[in-house]
Amino acid sequence: MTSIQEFSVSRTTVTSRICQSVLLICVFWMLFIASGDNKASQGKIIDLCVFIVLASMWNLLTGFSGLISIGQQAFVGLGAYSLIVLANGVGINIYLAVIPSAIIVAIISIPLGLVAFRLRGGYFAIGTWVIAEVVRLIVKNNQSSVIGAGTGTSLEVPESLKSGRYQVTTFIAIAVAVVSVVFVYLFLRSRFGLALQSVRDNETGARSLGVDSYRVRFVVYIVASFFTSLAAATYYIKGLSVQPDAAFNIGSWTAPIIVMVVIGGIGTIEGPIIGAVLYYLVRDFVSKNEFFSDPTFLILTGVVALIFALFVKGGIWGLLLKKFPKLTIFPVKRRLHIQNFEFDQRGN
Amino acid sequence: MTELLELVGVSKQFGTLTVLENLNVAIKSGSALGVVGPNGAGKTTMLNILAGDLAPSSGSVLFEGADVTSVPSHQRSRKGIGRTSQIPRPFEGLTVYENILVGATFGRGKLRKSKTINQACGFALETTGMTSKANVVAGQLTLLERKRLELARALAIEPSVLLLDEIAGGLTEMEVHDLVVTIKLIRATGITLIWIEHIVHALLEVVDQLLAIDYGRMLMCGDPKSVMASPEVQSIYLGNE
Repeated sequence: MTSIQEFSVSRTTVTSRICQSVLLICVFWMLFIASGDNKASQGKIIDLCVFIVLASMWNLLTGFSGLISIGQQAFVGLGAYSLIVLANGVGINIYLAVIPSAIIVAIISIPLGLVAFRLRGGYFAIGTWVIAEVVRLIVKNNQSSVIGAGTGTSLEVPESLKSGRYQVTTFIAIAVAVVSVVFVYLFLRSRFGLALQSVRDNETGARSLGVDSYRVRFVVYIVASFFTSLAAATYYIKGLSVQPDAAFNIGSWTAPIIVMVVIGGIGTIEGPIIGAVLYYLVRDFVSKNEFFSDPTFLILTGVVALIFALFVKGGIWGLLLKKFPKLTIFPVKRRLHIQNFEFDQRGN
Repeated sequence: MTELLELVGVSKQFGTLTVLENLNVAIKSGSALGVVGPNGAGKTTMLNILAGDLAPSSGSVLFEGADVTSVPSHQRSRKGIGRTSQIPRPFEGLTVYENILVGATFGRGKLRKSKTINQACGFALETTGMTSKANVVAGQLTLLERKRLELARALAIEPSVLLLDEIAGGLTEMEVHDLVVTIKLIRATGITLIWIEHIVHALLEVVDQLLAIDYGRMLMCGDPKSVMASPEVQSIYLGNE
């Protein structure tokens, strides 16, 4: 037998360092655009960053903890309306209101989660949608002047903040995206991430090893709500006008998110980012073409997502990994090393 | 020796079907209890109730003298009740080492030092002979390896009692032999064992007490040889004359 007490564990690889550097360059490039004047490009970066966050969070829920949510629009809408209440109602600076609105939504998500967590599997999925619809109806029927009922309202931007709003918002969006992705990465590398993946793979097995599966999933649910609304609040500083039917719309939020994650590669950190970027590039490319009107585009992306779900389960990132097994940007796996010891190399 | 784990008057019904009826079982610290009985006798149900994966319809479960009937399974594991399941439940997306790390990290409550965790992982890997497989993703393991991984994970929580559910089932004769060697090794460390098994000769090599159940009731419990020799148990395994 080997002297096992002397093993060491490694996580990062040379490839991961290189890939992370490339990603960092992309971030700097986005920051460069953010500091410029091109509003059209800045708008695209904001949208992209927002969807990277939304996709990463849906992936954290579904891909890493096995909670299938089709009600993420609840937290998009709640994030938008919290921002409206804090900025228009209370009068907080629109930029400074972003984080507090996300905190408010995270708190609201606790009772919502208590309801949703009474359901399991497919029923949980439907439950999340029902919750989103209930929240939408509550907001829609709120006649107060701040909420503005069904017609919605607009974020009031004070004169002093009007110039440079796109610039600042782009910076915020990039920051939110970077923080979210880094958070997911560190989260999954932690003990908590280990528990999360064990619960996803086999809940009974995880429980028999001391993992409190309910708590683990609940924490993830709240974390995902927080970041989803953080991204949503950022999005609405750019968009300004908020209507309940749009903000709580499954077709504008959760549907594209699922498409991005499934195409990019579910259950990986890299997948949702790739999916979001690709979705945006394709949509941007075809948006000038009459043929690809919104309904056609939605139908086509749905079909593509279905094909991926059926035949390319690992998504694009999965395909890349098959070609280049050593490829990794965010290494989560732990590798054991023992001096002068031969490990079984299966799958490596 | 004191009673480590006890079932007191435990019954379990699924709808109108009675799976366990007034079962009383006690196991002393440091001993090894084998459980035999035909399919559907309620052996796995008994184990699930001991581990907290199922709640009994009536009766109670005692661990170290305290009532743990309503303690959920993850907390029982933290108290020191480890289990393996008949159909292995590996975390297929994680490596063997990470599978074991889950048990070592969470098995005994929240705050464990990383040195203790490493030692628990090392012990589990070495005892079960899985060290060389440490970096293999669990989804790629063979049945024997999956069974060994079940064992390794349960060992990583450093249990005081280990519940084994047909761990030798489906293995070849040679594999069973190797597994028995491993289980003997575990027994030698002082861990109490409750082992359900159809492969009786493997069981008899390890256990010092044998419980035979049929239709959810205890047939006999005591010295393994005399239990196996009794006419009731013989009739179950060999049929009536």
